[in-house]
Amino acid sequence: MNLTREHVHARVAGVMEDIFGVDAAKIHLTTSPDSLPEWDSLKHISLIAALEEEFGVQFAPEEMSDMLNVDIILDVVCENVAGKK
Amino acid sequence: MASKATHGSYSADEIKALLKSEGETADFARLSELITRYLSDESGAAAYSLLERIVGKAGDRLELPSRRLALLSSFTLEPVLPYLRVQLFLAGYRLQHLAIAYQQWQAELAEVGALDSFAATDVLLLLHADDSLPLTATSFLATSGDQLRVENAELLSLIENGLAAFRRRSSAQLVVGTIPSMTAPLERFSAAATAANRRHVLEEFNRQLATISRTISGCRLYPYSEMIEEFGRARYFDLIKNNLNQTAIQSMAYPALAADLARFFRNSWTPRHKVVALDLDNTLWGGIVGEDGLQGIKLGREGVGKSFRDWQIFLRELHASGILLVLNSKNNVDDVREVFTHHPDCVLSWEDFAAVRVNWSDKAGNLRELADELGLGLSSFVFVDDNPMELDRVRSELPEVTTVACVGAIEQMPAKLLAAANLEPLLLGADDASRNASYRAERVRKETQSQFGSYDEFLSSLQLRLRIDRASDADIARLSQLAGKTNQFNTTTLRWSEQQLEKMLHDPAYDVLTMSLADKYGDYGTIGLVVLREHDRRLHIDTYLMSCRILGRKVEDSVFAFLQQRALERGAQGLIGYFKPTAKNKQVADLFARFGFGAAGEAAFETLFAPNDRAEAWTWETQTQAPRPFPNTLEIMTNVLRRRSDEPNP
Repeated sequence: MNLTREHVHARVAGVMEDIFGVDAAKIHLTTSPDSLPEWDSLKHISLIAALEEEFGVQFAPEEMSDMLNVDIILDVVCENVAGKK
Repeated sequence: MASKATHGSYSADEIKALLKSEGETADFARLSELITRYLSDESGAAAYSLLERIVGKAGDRLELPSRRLALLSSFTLEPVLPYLRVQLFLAGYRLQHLAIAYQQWQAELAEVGALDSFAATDVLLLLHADDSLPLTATSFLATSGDQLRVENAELLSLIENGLAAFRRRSSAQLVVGTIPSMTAPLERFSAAATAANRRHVLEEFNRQLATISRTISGCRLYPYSEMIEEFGRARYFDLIKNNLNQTAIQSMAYPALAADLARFFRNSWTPRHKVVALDLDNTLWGGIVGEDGLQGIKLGREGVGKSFRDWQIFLRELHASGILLVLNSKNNVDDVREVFTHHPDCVLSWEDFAAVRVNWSDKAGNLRELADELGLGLSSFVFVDDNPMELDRVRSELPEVTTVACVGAIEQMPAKLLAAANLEPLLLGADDASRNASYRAERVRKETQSQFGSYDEFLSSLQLRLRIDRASDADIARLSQLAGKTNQFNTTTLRWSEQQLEKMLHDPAYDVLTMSLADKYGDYGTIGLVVLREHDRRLHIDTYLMSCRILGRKVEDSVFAFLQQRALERGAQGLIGYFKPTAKNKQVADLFARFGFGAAGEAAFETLFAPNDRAEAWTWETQTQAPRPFPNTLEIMTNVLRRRSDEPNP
């Protein structure tokens, strides 16, 4: 499966729209729990679960605690999707 | 547009758009339909987060009944909330929650704090053995039997003392889950052959938990371990995330957990349905008996015939659990009787049906008649039919009837029926158990007796002493106050002023009875009131209430023995009890049934009640029914009765 980073970004933004209830257009690479008040620790757990479901992957524990802005999330998702094959 | 959605041709994205656009305005039925439709395509964390926001707003807008649930757990249970909120919305409730940080449950139960200020209506306690019984769950082979016993006993007493302490401060429903283990034990292969394994120890622990749940009033055991077994343990637990942040449950398991919890809570908050009304052709058998004939219908030992036979066996089980079955079918009654009397594989018999409408009349009208004939409200009816038009007709004509479509695989019907309607008994009542004694194995019966025996022994050890006396002027203030503030164990919640009580005290038609209780720990003082009114040669129980401080001591068993004896002494033809349902007195909904009273329909005729009170009348006849014996779990003293029926004549 060959997903472009742009394509992944769009799907991640779609998931975040559902999880946080904010417009996907407002999700930028720098969006993080600091810039988005809806992104609390409980929502982070839901976000991780929703991303795993969306991309059919399972993140490693250290990845889950690193995924604290959209840029890093895209990196981790792309790596996992590439590694899955 | 609506018809397109009904026929399921919308994509998930289109349904999502409809949910977003209609979420603010749609009525409950439409919104439930859209949500159910969306969930059949999308059941992940993202979908539930989206729906959680929609149902949160819609629940407020539609003013659904609201419940305040406190979550207590040995792990992080909060992620279940979006799922639970959505499932409870579908069951017709809104949810306010309080999540107690994992492993804080002991302190919160034991001492006044967050739980108290939250004013919970319901408390859920879920523990995993790996957190709460670590020696048993993970070090069973490396630990001595004595240490294991200590670990188990300590947790049991923590739970029991915690629940009992909280019960003294709150009237919330307490739901405690059986405790599962997260992993398969090392001794799994040998375990089957011997009792020396952790699975056995956990089962024993959970049995003791069951006993505790029965001794604390308003406490119920939730079969959490069984829910996990049904889902599959390896798919249920997330060992990685459990170690990371104590979120012990796989995200894909939350929908199943939430649906099961929502069903359990719904069943505990609403009265159990009483009647399942069944269509016949393509519902109790395959084919049409009027056309295919006795031999042609599909009902047998294999294939589709076995599907229908198994479904009938399930319905017979339902009947044995105390649910009434009735027929509502367009057919010739002779054809139908022929099947029930002569078809070799027809499991249900004609006598299993409490009432029958096999005719060519409108089915909604038939249901109205059936409700009248049985003296039950239509809201206690579930209607099962394979014909969507009949179902639609009943839904629009009688919205209070729960309808279930008998379509698709017949094997799925039991699960579908139990999900749609409140039919699973939360506790098999004494009444159900005795009525159905013949269905049960002798062994099971003895086990039940021994369980009851040990609880009775516990009660006897309390040396309970109950006084039931005719009230005097000195009691009036206290009794009026008790009638004013008792909401839970109160059959009619009629509030009696001091003036009313005083008048009744001096009216020979009335027995105003005051109850007081003491045990070896002390005196509880005045704990109950009964107002009996003689009218038309029957004693009417206008009020029966008891303080929630003394529930769970089977005081009501003695009170009913007393009342039935009193009816005999006054030469009355019987007793009439009233139940007026309120938001808080569900615990007495089955009170009269438990003590041998028969349902006599709505009591709207009684001037005591307003027509929209939905009060029910229950009757007990001195002519045909023997009074209950006085239980030996407590000593009863009274200045009202001349003698007790089970004492020898003087």
